[in-house]
Amino acid sequence: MISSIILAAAAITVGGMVWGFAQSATTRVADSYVEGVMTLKEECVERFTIEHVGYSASNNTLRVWIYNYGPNNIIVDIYVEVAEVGSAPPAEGITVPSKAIVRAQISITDASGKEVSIKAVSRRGNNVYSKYICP
Amino acid sequence: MSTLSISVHRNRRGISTILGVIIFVGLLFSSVLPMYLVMREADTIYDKEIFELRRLDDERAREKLYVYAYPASKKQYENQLKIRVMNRCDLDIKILRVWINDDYIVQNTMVSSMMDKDLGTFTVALIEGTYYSVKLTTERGNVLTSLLGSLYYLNGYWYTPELSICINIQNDQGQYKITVENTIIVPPFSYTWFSDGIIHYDFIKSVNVTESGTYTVRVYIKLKGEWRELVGSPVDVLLDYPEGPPIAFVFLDGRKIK
Repeated sequence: MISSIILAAAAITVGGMVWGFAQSATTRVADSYVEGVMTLKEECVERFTIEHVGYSASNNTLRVWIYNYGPNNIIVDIYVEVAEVGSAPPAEGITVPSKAIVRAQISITDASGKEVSIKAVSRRGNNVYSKYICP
Repeated sequence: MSTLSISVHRNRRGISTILGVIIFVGLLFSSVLPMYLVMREADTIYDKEIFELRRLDDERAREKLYVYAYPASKKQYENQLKIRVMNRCDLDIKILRVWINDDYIVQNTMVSSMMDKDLGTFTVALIEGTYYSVKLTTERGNVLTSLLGSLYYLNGYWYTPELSICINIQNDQGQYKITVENTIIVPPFSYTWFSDGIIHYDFIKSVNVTESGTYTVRVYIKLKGEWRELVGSPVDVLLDYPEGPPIAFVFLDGRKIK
């Protein structure tokens, strides 16, 4: 009889521990999965475009307008490469709220008459490209 | 006696097994099942968002808006540009911005499906020898450039395209005849064009006209030795420059025959 009680107590103790562990583990797994899915969703629903590019020859500045037409706010880094000259220092960490347009300014070396490749990369990993010939 | 003793012993031995089963079932319902449901819920939200996004992407691709930008009058030093838009898709289109070179004017104009709209006149700073590029941004993220191309300003005047009708034909292959007529003006205008043999690609035929007015465009394709008119032909085209744009566009499908 005592052995049966001991066995039942052991079963309850071990079972309780397993239960607790399983509950904690499944909660973590579920949270991690949901977080992953939501991150993926936010990455997928991100939508933005390089709406316009302008060049000011007086101060060698390239102006890039980014329009975020997606539902989420985004942070973008803009990389610029001038043909036959090379890369310019990127404009980093530009926040573009949802449904808004934001202008970024990038100093480049004299690019009059040259082709400029512009790449905007969001922090969630989406890219948009544009080419522009400086007047 | 010994039988009773064995029976009691067996009953007590089963308690831990029953407890184990209860714990297992409890664990299944309190941990595994909620986890599964939460995961399913996340998947559902993801699927719903992706479906919605595909719909928006599809709508963006289907947006079809023709933009015409032209000087408000033919007079010297005219610093106003007119913009007319023609929505040629089954969606309403919201215009957010009008770009003239590197400056934009905020708009909030809705253009209903298959409707035309004048966005009004826009003042520009006149600079000799400058090209003025006009484009519009829609809420869905499309950037649409004026069909008339950049406007050029020199010696106090705007250089705009000549009065003309631009006929766009979607085509697999065929031999075409195009006629453009206006019998109201004096002298009457009449123009006929035959394609040089069979055309195997989409093509555009521009016809310069003499003055403003309503022109009738007819497009025919040769089928078994006979000229057959396309669906949508004849098309009446109104050119009322400078009230309207100096170029009118006609779009027909060469694969659809009456």
